[in-house]
Amino acid sequence: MIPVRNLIRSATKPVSGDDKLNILTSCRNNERYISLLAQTGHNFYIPIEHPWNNMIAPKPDNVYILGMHSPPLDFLICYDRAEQYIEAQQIARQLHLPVILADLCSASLVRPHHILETLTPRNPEELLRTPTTTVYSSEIIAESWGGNSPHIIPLTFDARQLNASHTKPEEIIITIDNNVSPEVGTALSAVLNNQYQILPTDTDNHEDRAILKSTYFINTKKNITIKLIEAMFCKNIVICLRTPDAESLIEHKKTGILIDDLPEIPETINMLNNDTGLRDSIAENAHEQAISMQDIDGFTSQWNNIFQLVRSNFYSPSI
Amino acid sequence: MNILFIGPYRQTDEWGHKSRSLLGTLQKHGHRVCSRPIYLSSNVHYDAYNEPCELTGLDEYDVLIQFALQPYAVYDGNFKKTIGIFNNETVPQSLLKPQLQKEMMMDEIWVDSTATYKGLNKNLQSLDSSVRVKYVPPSVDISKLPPVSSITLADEGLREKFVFYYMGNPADVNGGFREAYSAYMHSFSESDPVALVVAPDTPLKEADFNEMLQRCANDLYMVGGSRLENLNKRPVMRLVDSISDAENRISLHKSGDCLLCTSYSLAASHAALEAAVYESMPIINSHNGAYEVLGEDNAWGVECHEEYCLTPSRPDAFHRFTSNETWFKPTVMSIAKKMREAYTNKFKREEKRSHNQKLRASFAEKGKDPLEDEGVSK
Repeated sequence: MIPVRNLIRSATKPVSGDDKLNILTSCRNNERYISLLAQTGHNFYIPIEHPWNNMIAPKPDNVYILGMHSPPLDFLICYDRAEQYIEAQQIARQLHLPVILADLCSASLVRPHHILETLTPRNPEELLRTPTTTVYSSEIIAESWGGNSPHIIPLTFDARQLNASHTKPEEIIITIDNNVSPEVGTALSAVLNNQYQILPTDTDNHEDRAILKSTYFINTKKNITIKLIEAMFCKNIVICLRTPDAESLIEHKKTGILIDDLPEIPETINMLNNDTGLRDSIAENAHEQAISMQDIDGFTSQWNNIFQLVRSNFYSPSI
Repeated sequence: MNILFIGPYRQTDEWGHKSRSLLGTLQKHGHRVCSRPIYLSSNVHYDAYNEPCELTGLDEYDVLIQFALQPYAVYDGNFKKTIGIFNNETVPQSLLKPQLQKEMMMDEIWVDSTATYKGLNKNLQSLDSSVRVKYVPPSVDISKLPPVSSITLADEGLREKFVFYYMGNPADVNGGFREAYSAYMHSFSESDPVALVVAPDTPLKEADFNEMLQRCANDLYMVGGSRLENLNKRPVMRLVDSISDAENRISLHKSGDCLLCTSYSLAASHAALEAAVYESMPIINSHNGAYEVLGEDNAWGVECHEEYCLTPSRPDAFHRFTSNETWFKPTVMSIAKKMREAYTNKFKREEKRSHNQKLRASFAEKGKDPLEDEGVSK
């Protein structure tokens, strides 16, 4: 990949028009998000070092692996400012590309991480990055990072892949986001003492999704994920660790369950199993809330606006 | 003509200055230029400098100018003409096709020294290449160089001394610092009211600098043992902060008396041209492109000998700096002679200074359009 090609493209490609942009994107457990971005119709390229994980989401046709003969690129998207940004910045310097940072979690979490991790930045000021543009997935996230006149594109999901009216089995099934370290699964199994059947969210079979069958969804991340919203849509009771991010979406015992520690999980599930009225009410409210977040057209059109904005603006490489 | 100019004009090193000057020259001749900055070094300083022509793109382009390293260069058929400006520090003699692969992809190559021009032209012709090599004399963008600096080099130790100064990377073997240092040590003693100021183009720690001086001194001991006493009684030497910003650079030109430009590189030294504009007549490799412009009227030309271009560390990706090229190494004796002359011969100094005074006006003139005398056709 030769930077001069990207520079020529930046100076020659028309700002407006229906031409497709070529966007390099980090791909480190962001397959769901990239699948949504792919619906903008542009071409997305992922570095070969972090290949697409088909278990998380099937690879859209317009997502390619970046290679020597890939066409010139327009910009680069990364999804956290702690780790991905550093890598993105190095690539952006080499290839002379503007960086778009999509912040998917608040400053208190530093970066998306699982429930057994505790992250504290060594130097919080280092996280005050200077990408060409930052997009936040909620106002709370924007405020936490001190974003001025921020671009907010709320998380959404593609409901076409989910049949929410799917009849759930009698048996209590719990789904967990398995795209985390195995120690998280082990910890949850230990807490639940093998009382319930646990299914992973990510399998090769994208037709038969676990969340269509499960009653509970345990969020193994501390931030809000697309899978969590999908689980809400499929009338799962979502159980999340209480974090500012989780609290911004979930109202305790109304649209989901917020817990302070993992050992609370069995007790909570028992309580809800005994109070099916409350359980059904939470499931219904969660479903309604997810429906209100279902806006794939809004998501793609807002991202298209961002792409046009970055594409049309003067680009100053962040060195 | 509509031009897309890609160059390292935001870098604060030699490449950056040259690139800016060329960009200025193209604009001065009324071409519509859209520019994009490229960064060619991983460890150089950048400034916030940007050009209004970065802000927009043009609907159509005639010419693509790439001021870059060979591996970065591309051919793009959407442009009527593709021009490459690459590192032309050496004289190509018998470079092979793979070594000139990127040059041969261009429609035209611009070089800023006649030595390189002749060598590259001959080498390309021997490979049956029709690529045109063009000599584009170096220039200085005076609009970016105020006559005076708002800061001065405050160093009491330099007061009343004749100040030689070296700008560049003293750690770079090809930079000629070792030669300049040796010549200085041979020419002067502690009792002479002279000083040598070293201004690295990237920050250099004092400890690293002293270590480097010690290495130079050791070399000198082995080469010229009879002058050992001079090494023990060093004439004044100073290391100043990096001259990455224009103010510091100009203040050094104004405070210094004579720039030492002893690099092996044949590409025109922008620092030497700049120094001459500030009446700081440079001592310079007589095969350097800047000397060709300045001449003996404005500078002190140093005798050189042609040598195969052999460097201990050869960047493989470039396939350059090989024994298929030559360059001209300045001789220490000649540098020493010119240093003594610059210091002692007040008459010649004044003569050169008076010529230097005319340079600002000369560079301010439009000069020749580098894109003139040819139609853009393929």
